[in-house]
Amino acid sequence: MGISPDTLAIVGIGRTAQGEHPGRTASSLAVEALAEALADAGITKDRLDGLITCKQMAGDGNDELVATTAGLHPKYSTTLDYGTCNFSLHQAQMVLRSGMASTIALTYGTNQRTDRFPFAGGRAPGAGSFSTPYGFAHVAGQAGMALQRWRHLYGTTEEEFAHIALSQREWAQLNPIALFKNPMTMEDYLAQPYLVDPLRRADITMISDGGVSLIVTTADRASEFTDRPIYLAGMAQVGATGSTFTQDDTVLRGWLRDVGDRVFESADLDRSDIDAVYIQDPTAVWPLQMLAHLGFQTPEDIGPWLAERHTYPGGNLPVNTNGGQLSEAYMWGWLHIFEGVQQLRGAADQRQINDARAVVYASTFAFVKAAASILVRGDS
Amino acid sequence: MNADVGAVLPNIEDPQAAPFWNAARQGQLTMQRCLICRELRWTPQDTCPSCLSREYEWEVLSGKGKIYSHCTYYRVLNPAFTDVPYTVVMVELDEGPVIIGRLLNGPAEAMIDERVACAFSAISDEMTLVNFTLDK
Ligand SMILES: [Zn+2]
Repeated sequence: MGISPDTLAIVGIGRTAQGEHPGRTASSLAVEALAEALADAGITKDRLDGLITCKQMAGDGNDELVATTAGLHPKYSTTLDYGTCNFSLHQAQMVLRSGMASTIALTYGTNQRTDRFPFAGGRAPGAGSFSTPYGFAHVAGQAGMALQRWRHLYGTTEEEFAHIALSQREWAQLNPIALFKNPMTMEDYLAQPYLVDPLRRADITMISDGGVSLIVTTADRASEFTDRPIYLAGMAQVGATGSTFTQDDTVLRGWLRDVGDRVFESADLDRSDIDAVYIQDPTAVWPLQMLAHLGFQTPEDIGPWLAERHTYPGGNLPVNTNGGQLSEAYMWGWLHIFEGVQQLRGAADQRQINDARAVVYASTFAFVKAAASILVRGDS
Repeated sequence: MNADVGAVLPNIEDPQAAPFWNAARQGQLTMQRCLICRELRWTPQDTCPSCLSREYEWEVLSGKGKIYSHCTYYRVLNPAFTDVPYTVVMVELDEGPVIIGRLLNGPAEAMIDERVACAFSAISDEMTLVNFTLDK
């Protein structure tokens, strides 16, 4: 199934407490998570020869800062400003295949909650300068436009869409580190006022502080670190699909179908082989669109399918079993991969899916750039 | 919007954007058309994304189209825009491109495929925004 000696193997995972970390920098949180990941992999930092960091939106977290903070002197290092862990994993796979490094740390840290980063503020550059002056600010605006159009074309109802936030909340209740664990019923959801109609607070990511790190190496070295390596069996990306939020395909993101087709083809797996789906969720519109475009349902059928509770605990296609950014923590998708690895290791405690062998993770940078990965356990 | 709107207004001296904002001040909606492949493009940039030419002209458009999608802000997410609720529309112009503005009629009138026309809203001597009203 596409696992060769130079396939990327995840051999260590680490995370900080999630929530608020007053006075900490993004790099400090990234390095705290790195220390946890090193311990999980059973190595010290001297073993690392590669570093791939992901900056937070506010900017902090580049490779020079993280390497300095952690006292690393890698043979290879770089920074992605849109890592979402997905692009980061793909970059690491390419570095491993090139031979420039063999044991790589991936990091992400954010202090954007206590630092009060203005996600909807300021003067927008470029294309944004023709929409921000109208008050079209914050990701909730774009997501609201996308959902309104989606519902017009495909008929998804408000109650059907609610199941994304509701199912992730049920998963979060099984996750000790999740920040939003209060029970939420359909009635509770529908009683919430609109933040940006058609979206409610429950449909939009929280903002929290924290860090996540992974240690990766090649499959042929993995047994030196762990007896439970998790492999990157498939990957696919699209670089950009149009530079502005003013094209049909940008709003509806139909181009994700191609990323879905290619990621399954690269892993030589079918949709039916997937035990859980992880989708980076700045808003609940992302899982709605991506579950359809990855090929699990048609856009017309996804609404009724969500209402059948397949994505909930006990369902046959669990989605975001960590609770996602809507209910667990704001980690730009990094905790989605962390959770996928836990599930494949059989270490997800109350959330454990029976005999999880393969998971898919999809993420995008805004509405124009996407990545998808398939992770599998060694015996699958 | 309120007095803080100045903090989010675009740089109208930007060479790509200035002709658009100058025309809006005169009550005209304009976009760039490539002189080589004739593609009409939005938002403004000096290079044609279709053929990569940098030869273009500004064209006056009809200012009419239909609502492609809409959303209504009920919470103040940006301190420059405290006048909630307000409705933002994406309008598919008769000439093709999709442009963003406010629907001045308000949330109850926002419906996909409704016909709309430009409404030019001067907010200062220098700056006129391109909004929309229902075109009945
Ligand atoms: Zn051209």
